[in-house]
Amino acid sequence: MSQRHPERSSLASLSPGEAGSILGLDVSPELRDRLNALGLKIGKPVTVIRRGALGGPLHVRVGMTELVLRRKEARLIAIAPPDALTA
Amino acid sequence: MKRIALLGMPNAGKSTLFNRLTGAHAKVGNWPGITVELLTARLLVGDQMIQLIDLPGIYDLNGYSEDEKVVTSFLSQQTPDLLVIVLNATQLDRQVRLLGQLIPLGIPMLAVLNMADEAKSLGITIDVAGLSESLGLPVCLLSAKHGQGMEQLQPALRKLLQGRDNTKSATQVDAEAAVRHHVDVPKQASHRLTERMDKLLLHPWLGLPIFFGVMFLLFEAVFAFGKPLQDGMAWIFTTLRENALEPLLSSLPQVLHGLLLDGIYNGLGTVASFVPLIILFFLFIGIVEDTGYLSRAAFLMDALMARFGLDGRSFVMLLMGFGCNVPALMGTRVIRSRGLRLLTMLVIPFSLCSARLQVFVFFTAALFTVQHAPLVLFSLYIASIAIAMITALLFKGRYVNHDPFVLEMPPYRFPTARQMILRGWQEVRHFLTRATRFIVLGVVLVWVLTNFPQGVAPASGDSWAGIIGNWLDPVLGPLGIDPNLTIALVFGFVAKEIVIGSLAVIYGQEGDALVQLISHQLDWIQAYSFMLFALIYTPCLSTIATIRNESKSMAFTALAVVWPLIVAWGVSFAFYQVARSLVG
Repeated sequence: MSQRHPERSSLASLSPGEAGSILGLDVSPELRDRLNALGLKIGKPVTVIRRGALGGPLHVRVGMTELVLRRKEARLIAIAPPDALTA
Repeated sequence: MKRIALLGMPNAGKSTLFNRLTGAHAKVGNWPGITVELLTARLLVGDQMIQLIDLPGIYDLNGYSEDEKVVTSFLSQQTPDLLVIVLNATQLDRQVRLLGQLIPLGIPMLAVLNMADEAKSLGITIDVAGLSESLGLPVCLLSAKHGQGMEQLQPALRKLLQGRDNTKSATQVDAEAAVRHHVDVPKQASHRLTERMDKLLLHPWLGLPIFFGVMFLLFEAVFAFGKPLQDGMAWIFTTLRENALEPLLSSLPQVLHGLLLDGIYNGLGTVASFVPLIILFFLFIGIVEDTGYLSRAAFLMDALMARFGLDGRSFVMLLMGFGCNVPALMGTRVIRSRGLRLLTMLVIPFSLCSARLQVFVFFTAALFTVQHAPLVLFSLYIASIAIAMITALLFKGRYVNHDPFVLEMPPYRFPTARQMILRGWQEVRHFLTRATRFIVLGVVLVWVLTNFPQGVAPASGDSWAGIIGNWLDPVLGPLGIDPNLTIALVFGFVAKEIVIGSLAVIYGQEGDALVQLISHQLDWIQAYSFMLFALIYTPCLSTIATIRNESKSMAFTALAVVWPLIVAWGVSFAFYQVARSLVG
């Protein structure tokens, strides 16, 4: 994780089209179960498809599953430095 | 009788499979968490009659939501003879996790990999035999929606029930590793059509306007197609009465004749004339639900809803409430935070349900021009959402939301003709149940109240109904609601279908004649005030009973009855007095 850009280390900081792999889930055990069940697991690559307008939720894709989650939750998901995807 | 339970993650297609197997009518929707009651049906497997149970979709065996508690307590207390776990074949990488949790329970199990059609078009290849061997249980790949592969199910179930299944149960199962070995997903696999549609439908600035545009068109279409159907039905009932029933029943004593024709027939006929409109309405709502657009609505509205203490799911439940408030209330079970769940349950009853729609279609057609009627109707939908939001704003401090908002976005899917027909039939059945339970009883009571004590002019001030109406006049008079309408409102407390049924009884007319009479007795200000009141106060007894069951709190149930009554009175009063003073 880049020390110079700590704000770029969570899922919430990815721009649409950017991907990264999940480093950690800093959430309650219940939410961790739910996220795991939806495919958000440590080591899995996740792509941000779009960010909702007016601070709305993120639309992300992990494996063959698409899901939406609020930025508040996305901030708790640590991400390895993003590698930009070609559109 | 042996029992087979269907289990799987939300949106894996359990209900579709249930319908396909039994021909029964479990509610199906492309929205995670739609199955909220335990649906059961009988099914013949070989020569053995078994009971098939459709469990709610769950993500996790150790979960904390109401639905997950329902499933875990079901599995431990009434362990079924056989579990059929339904998995979405396109998402095996993550859905297999639930299978991994179920295997240690030791219940005989069949894994159904559903949506074979989607998996195929995505280029996903599954080695079914290899997967079955690694998992140590029989596996069927099929499409419940289109029916391919369904023929494997009967033999597989039969073998399992008779204990003749030859699949060697594996001792150590790593379900996720099994999927990694036997399922191949192409790197570039994606739902291209969905991605393209989402680019437009979830556009940051166009998304919401498009959503509201679609909703507006939908209601316009219901009105445009449904109104002529309703007029036609009303004409059929009138003709039938004049040409067949009147001559046939003319020999009956006057009281019985009145009860049968002016009471039951007029009341029920007026309500029944709305059935085509309601079927159409539910068909449209059903199609939107099945396509997966509702999950998009949740995404689009979440930021806005958060400001009202709600979230995207609450908004979708509100939309579902446009059909019927009862399933929408039960749908809140997927919400884990009690605060958010109660707040959502408090606002759902303001959702303009299809029963209230009938009342409004009736009144707008009677008192507004063909051009204005749809706009008036739309204004009531706006009022419905506005009052729900204001209520949320006022109570969000009391019912605080701590629930994380995480929601699956299924790809767009299009319901088959079969699914749509099933949906329409469901609604007819639902209506008939309500009709036999409430409406007949309601219209008979109204007839008795308006025709007794014996000898009074029907619905006059001397009848029992008139006495009640006059007694409530100090309260409802300032709202422009006359004693006749008051009786309709009193009975509308039980179910809104009774409102128009009882108007037919009160005015002793039906069909066109009833519409004519009402348009002479009321002006549009009175009618709109009446509609506002009917929109806002308690939708029906079933809704109250559901709120009581789901909240398990009398105090909350009381709030959910009293608060809308206060708002209904206040809004109608303000509207009537202001409109009267402006228009005169």
